[in-house]
Amino acid sequence: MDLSLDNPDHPERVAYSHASVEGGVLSTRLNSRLRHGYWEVRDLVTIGVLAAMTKVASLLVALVGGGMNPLTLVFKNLVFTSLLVVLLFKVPKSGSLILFMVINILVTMLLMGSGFFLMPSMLLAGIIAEGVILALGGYQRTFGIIIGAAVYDVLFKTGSLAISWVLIREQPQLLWISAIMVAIGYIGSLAGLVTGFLFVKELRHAGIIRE
Amino acid sequence: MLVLFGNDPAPQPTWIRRLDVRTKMAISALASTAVMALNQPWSLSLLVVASTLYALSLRRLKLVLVCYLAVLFLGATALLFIHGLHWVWPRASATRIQDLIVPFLRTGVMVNVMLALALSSNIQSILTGLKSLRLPFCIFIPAVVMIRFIPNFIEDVRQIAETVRIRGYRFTPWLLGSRPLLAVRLLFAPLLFRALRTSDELGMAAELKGIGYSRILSPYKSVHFGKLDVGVGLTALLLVAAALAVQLLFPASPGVRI
Amino acid sequence: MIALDHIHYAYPFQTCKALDDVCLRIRPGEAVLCTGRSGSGKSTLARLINGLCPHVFRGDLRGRVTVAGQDNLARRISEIAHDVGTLFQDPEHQFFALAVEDEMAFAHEWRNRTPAEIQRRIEEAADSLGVRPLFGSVLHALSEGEKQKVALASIMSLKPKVLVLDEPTANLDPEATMDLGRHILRFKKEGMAILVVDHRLYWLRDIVDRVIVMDRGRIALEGGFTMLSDHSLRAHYGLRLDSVSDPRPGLTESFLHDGFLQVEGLHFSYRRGRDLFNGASFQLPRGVTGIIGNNGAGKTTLARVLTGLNSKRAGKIRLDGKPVSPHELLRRSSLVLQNTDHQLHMKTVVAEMELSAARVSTRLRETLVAGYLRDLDLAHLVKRHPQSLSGGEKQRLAIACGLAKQPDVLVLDEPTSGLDGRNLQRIAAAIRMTADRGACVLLISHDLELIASVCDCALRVPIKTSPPTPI
Repeated sequence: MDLSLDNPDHPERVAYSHASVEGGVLSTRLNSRLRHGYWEVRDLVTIGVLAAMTKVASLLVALVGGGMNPLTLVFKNLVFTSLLVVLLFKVPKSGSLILFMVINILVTMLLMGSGFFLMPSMLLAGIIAEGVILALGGYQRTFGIIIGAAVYDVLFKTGSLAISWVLIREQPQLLWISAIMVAIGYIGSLAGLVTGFLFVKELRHAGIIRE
Repeated sequence: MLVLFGNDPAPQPTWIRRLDVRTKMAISALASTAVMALNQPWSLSLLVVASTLYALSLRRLKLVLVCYLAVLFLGATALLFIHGLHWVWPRASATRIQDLIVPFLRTGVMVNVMLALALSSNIQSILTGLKSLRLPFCIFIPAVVMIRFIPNFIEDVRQIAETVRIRGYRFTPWLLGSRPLLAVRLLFAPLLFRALRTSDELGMAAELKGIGYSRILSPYKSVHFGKLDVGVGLTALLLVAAALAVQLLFPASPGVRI
Repeated sequence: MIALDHIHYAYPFQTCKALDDVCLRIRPGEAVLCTGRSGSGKSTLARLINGLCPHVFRGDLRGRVTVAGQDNLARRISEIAHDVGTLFQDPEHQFFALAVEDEMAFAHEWRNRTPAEIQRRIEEAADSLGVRPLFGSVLHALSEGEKQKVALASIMSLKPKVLVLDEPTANLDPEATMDLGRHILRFKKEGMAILVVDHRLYWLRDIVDRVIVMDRGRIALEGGFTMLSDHSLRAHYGLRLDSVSDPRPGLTESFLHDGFLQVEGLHFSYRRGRDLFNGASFQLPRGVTGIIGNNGAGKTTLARVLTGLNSKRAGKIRLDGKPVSPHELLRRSSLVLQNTDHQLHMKTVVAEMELSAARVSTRLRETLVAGYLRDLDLAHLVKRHPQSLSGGEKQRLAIACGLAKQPDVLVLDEPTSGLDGRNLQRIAAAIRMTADRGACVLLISHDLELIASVCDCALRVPIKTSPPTPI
């Protein structure tokens, strides 16, 4: 039902097709005529707000749960992955995942002066995950988004392990410890896929994410 | 990081506060690359000393010490965890303290440059600096929004924790462990809804302000590199070069022992 | 300047029209008030003018909206924003910067103006609204009134031709409200076309030229402000009062009544902060006590100490003559805070209510919950997700949850901001009922209509050395 401005039957009628309501991928003619670049300001704001929330939420988990312990590790990853899933459903556009990660790292660098190590593995994981989502039918398919997020987690964690190997290469036994910690964290990520999806369902029920 | 968002009433006017945020970022990046490349205890020690001086020039001795203690505490928990692991699974050998010297020195350098950056800039100056980085529109907007909202969400968390207390629950590790679903419900659900609502409202406000009318921003206040930035930058480069020289002259033997 | 011709509009996935055949014209130099009960389509009208509908909200629009001679559908929102400035209820969420000056400059930076021109424009606007002294301040440290003025100044610095104000006074105290009124009058004289959407009416008496009353998406009435003095008309359309006299000076002091909650020698200060209470002694009766004082006088802090949320440094608190610990106080009291989003945790309205009534015996709980849901007109929403409710509905739900706990001490912080006349009365009735049950209700509010209708007495903050309370 793409009725645009110059529809002869209804000269004054303008309707936006429902498929374009949130996605912005299938844009109506009216929409694309007035669009200005790929990203809308609203998308960018959403990405920024959710990135801020991930930072605060992981800070909070660390404060409540204490330092490096399995519980904190699991929860931190759970929160991160759930929010990632929510974001991908809220801003379903190719590139959301990479942009979200870039912003996260950039701000971590600005505020904390750290995170430089994570940049390469993050970008690589992001690009591959975006590719997987595209290959599975893009951001319209729930299945694709979930798998994409899962792929991202696996690749990024493997990449971080490689980097931690560079940092502790003098003590290969330590790598075992890192590997186990990463594995424990990954349990959280897997659970995060589920909780993230549950949140998305609830957000749909509340009308905050449209189907 | 919390310190960063406290309202510091009168920051002491030290040279590090006059540094451009971009210089400080560059120093952090340089330090990160350097510690990845170096693995000789003496060359790393040189950088540890230099970066400690850099961090101490904040003249917030107490704060810096508290942060050191926190990092040590984190390290200690990690060690304990490692030993626990060794106990359940003997193949993961417990490492001796002296084997950890090089990783420890690396962490030391990173913590110092991180503290120097995090404790010397206030958020508004980071936002101003961000405008001077000439980032593309699609990176600039989310980054500004993120930095702007971190303090807000910290405040939100405080309020949510309070409403939970009014309802008769308290956030403790125990609640997290024993009733994780309820904990997620009580804490993260309101935070998530709040975040998404905020993003909707702010997105609309942004449109109504005409943000994005032009894709390029012309900064009202801009920051400029000064002599100080050049001087500090050069010093940092020289130090890294010196550390590299030490490393090349006295290469580390595999399995360093001191 | 603004012309709406036969507008029909429905939000996406809504079968019911939000606006149904609406025609409206606003000329330059004219100010129009749009009022009506919640959900009558007032805000939608404002959103059509500034372009949020349908550009952001999507939905189905028939008819033509033109602003300054140009069709809104043919322009992007950021282009419409050159002509239309919009001020909302909560300016906090419109700010991108942390300091006042940077915030005011931000919109100009995107219009590629030179720093000198930006400075000239924002200084001019700041001077005209008197916010120049705030330039160096941090936004979140300002009072609501100051925030609202900064938001207005940053809009005015863009020199729009049309000003849309969507419930601008909901968070303001009476003084800041009157101040806002004076500025609107000045903008009108300068030739702006102004639309004010608000539930509070009294402050606009000498400001607006015309009033439109919306009902179920249609313009039901249009006329001069004087038509609002008809009581039956207001009752029919769920409106608030057209004139309010300040009830605050007339309220008797709380210490003249029998004490139920008694406080002796209260000391409280925030960490590193000045003393807010230094040996204050007072008593609060059963019934409704208004806590009255200026912004920053410590009203909310007092409420938090009295419900055990913040612990006092020294002092004794007794309830019905018996000393109580902060923990016990927290258990026996309800505190309904201003920010409703934080207070709703569950998946459905009824689950939210049941969690609040958890301490009430199972046998009574169901009837109790059903009763409060009915009293606050929430019964038809039981299955809905609390976060999907409108602002007013969420406010009522948070209050219902507070009541369902069956507290001995009930504290309400601005319970009626942004509510229409009908809902204000519902909340007033619920407060009255709780007070009559024997609870001590503390009301912190700027809402003169609510204070006038429920308060029995007042506690004025900062607390003067009151006569020794007989404990």
